[in-house]
Amino acid sequence: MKLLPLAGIVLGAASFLLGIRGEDPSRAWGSYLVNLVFWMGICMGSVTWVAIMNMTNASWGRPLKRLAEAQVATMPFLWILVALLYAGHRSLYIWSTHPVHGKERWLEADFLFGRDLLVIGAMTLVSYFLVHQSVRADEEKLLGGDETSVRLRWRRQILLSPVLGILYGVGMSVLAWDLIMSLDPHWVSTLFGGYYFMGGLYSALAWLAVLSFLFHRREGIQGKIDGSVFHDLGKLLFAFCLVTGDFFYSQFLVIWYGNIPEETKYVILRVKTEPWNSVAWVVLAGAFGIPFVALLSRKLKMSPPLLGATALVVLGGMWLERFLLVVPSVGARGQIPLGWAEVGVAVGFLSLEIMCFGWFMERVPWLPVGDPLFEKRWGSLSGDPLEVSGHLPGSNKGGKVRG
Amino acid sequence: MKERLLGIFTSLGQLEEAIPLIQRKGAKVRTVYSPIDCREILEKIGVRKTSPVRFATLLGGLAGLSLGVGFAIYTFLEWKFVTSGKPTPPAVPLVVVGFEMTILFGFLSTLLCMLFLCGLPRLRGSQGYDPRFSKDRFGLLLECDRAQREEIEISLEQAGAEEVRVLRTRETSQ
Amino acid sequence: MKDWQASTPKSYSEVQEVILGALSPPGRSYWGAVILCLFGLLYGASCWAYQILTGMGVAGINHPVNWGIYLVNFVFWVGIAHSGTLISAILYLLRARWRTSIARAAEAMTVFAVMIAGLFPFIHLGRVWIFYWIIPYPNQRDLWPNFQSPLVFDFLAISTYLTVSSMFWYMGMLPDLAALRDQSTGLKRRIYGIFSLGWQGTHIQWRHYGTAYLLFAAFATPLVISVHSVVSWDFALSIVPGWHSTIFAPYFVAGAIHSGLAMVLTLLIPMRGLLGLQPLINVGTLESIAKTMVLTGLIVGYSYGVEYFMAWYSGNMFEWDTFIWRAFGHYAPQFWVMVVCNVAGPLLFLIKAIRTNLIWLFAVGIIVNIGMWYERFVIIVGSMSHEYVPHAWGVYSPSWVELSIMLGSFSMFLFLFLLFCKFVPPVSVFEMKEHLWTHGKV
Repeated sequence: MKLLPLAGIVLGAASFLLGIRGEDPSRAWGSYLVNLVFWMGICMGSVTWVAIMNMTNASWGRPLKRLAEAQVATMPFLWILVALLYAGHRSLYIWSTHPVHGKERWLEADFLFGRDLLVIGAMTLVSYFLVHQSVRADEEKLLGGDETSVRLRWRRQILLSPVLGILYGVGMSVLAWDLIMSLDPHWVSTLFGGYYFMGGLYSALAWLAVLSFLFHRREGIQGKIDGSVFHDLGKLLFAFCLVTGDFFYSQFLVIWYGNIPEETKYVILRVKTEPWNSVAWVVLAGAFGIPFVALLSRKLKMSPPLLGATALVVLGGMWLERFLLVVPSVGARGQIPLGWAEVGVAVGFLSLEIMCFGWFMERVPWLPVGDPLFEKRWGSLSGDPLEVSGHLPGSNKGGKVRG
Repeated sequence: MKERLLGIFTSLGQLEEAIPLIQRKGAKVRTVYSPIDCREILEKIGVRKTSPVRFATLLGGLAGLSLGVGFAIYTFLEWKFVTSGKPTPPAVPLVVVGFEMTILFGFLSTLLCMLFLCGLPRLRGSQGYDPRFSKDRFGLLLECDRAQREEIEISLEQAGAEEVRVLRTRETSQ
Repeated sequence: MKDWQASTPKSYSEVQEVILGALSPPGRSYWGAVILCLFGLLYGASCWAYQILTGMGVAGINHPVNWGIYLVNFVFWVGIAHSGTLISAILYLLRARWRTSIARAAEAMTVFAVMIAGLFPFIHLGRVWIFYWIIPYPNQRDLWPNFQSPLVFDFLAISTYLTVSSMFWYMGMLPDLAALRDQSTGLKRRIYGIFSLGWQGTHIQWRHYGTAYLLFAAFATPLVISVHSVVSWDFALSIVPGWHSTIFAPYFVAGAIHSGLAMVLTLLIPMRGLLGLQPLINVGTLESIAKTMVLTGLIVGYSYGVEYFMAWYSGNMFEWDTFIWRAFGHYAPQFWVMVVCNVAGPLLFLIKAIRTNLIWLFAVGIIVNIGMWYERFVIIVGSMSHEYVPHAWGVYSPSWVELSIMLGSFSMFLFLFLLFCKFVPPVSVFEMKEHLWTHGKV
């Protein structure tokens, strides 16, 4: 069971390496970039959700905290993957081979990757500190530790949360401009950064819904993720479906209406021309249309499998959306480059996330017992630590944790 | 012979406790009066908590969408006002028109349906209503057989009713 | 203005007495204020009449700035309206407890602000008497309004917003109007009786009312976002440099909430003091508003930064020149007031001592209001005076007629709000009672 993600990663790496040694390396780099920006949105977004919930005193979502925090484990790998992306910048970015007048120094490989790595590094570090305080607080609480220390860790989380929130907004905007928008260096959209980071939050929420569905019956969760939590999660997902749709439409309407060729070129390529227009319709349906209609239903939101399924549709739609943003600008071709190699790379990234997630969850308590908002609503879960989490804090793993 | 009794309580909790007591004795709850939202007791008296107003919302919203978009398309086809080479009718701006009309009609139909279901505007007062019910008292209007009246009065007082009134059995509008 | 620790009401009747006690017959200073505002309103109205009779030339608008402070005020007042609905609808959906004591007053602010905002397109229109041409009806000109135009979107959005927010506000008051009816006598009883529609608080009524209220809030939320997005598209759908920008919709919505929250602080701090509502609207609530303003201020600051960055990055010399001119050109003072007031001002709220101090809260509220008004000025007038062709650049300054009408609008707002405070329960009575019940205190 443990080897499966590892096999997936190997498959992904192999598909990718085969691709770059093939006739069209930019296609392989394209699929690499698509998955990278997709998962960056999910991982950074997940921990930002924890920060948002801390800042708004949201007690409904406390049982989901650890599931959301787990994505911090993948962040160092994302940093490495962005660093490795440097090797492909000539295949991907036209500005590296044909510097764009006026922004030669801004769109210059060393500066660009330097600042992006700085940004991801900062987000990773702050996320790490935030999650570290959270996990240690729970462990201390379980071991019957000092109440003042637990409270101090909560205060630190409260201080770190807005820092992460701001870093996320600004950092993800910079990443969006540098890694995605610069694929067409003459195209500009002021909302692009916001669109990317809102889409990231949306995908992260959908990912959290899938994780909640998969783990809500596990012992470590103790049934705390019940119907009402799914209902609230579903409502939030619906809200973000609307927000992402609204951000998409804001860009689309302004560009359509102004009809300025510098701006419309990018959109027309994706929405009007073959072969991309069919992908665009699938994205509209998957990321927006189907979730919108499905999430109107109260019964669906409260049913874990149905909500999980809708969230999967959202994730599929958002992956295709990132695909649609990136790939049409990476080399000109007549067919949609979605074949076995692309599936392999996608499986590789997914497996990396699963592996990191599993590694993280084995080592931490699954319920945020040291979190005062959790305590306020579910009471103090003192007593046998084995009953609270799937394992004893400090030990490597318990048989009950992974099934 | 049916009798109507009105129990006046100072707290929703007491009223909530009284309900099963009197139901066991065979009385039927006709109306609960409350100054605050009392939907938590609805299940106890056999009424569903959610309201059918939602259907009016859905229908109204769909009506608004079709009316708004339909009318806009009609006007475009009637008189083709072509600006900067945009298609007629243009799909993209009509999203806004449809959106606003969906909200307007959905909202208004919800409003009208709610007023209708609540029986508002209500022109005549009802028999059991006491002006204190909008301030700090809760009322439990129930119907029972004359034979059980005293038992039920006692149950109400046991549950904490501040006052129990016997109402003349005349048509009490709901 | 030290906030004395009044004890929170402990029973339903106490809640009702504190709130409805605010409606006691007002003193002379109140009527003095009302009459002053009425004079301001009438002065503004007479200036408008003067403009209609004389012509639009009395306003300062001319080539190239065809949209002057009438439109600035329009956007400003629509913006103010938004945070009322945010507080009353969006926070209701998010189950934020701090909303309850301020929702009624905030909603009132919304309704009045939308009314005033809706006047400004008429004021700005040269031939006001033919305003009805924008209404779609079959006519002998064989014309329909152009549904593609953002100005028609505006008409639909603002009228929907006015309808929805006034009905939402009114419906929220039904149980309280019934309470007023039940404790009044004579003519007052009749009037409140009519307006309460005969509400009795039966379980059937609460059942439908409760569901409907949630649905109202669920409708009002996307409406808020869409209305200010539509207003922003009045500008963004053009190709004027500095206007044609995809970020306008979320930027304007965040800015609207920012200015609206500032207006809430400006209105509520005096209101709670003068009406004796301190036990209900406590400093914690005001602090939550302040914290939200930090967020909206940061979003507004982000938008300023992104616009500047993209103006440079795009390599579009017109866009870049417009933005340089905004910061250093004729309207530079207004620009810097805007940046400092909107971004730096709310950052003061990061300090707890400031965001829990009534004087600071009030002061920063005023500062942000001024800053946000100037933001609309800089965007609208700034861009129009400095478009593509240097030969067509020009400067605008508002005439006394425009400023008088603006004064009239502020007077009208205050006039309506003062009336609201004394004739309608300024805090939601039944929702405050529900708080007591759900927190086990009764």
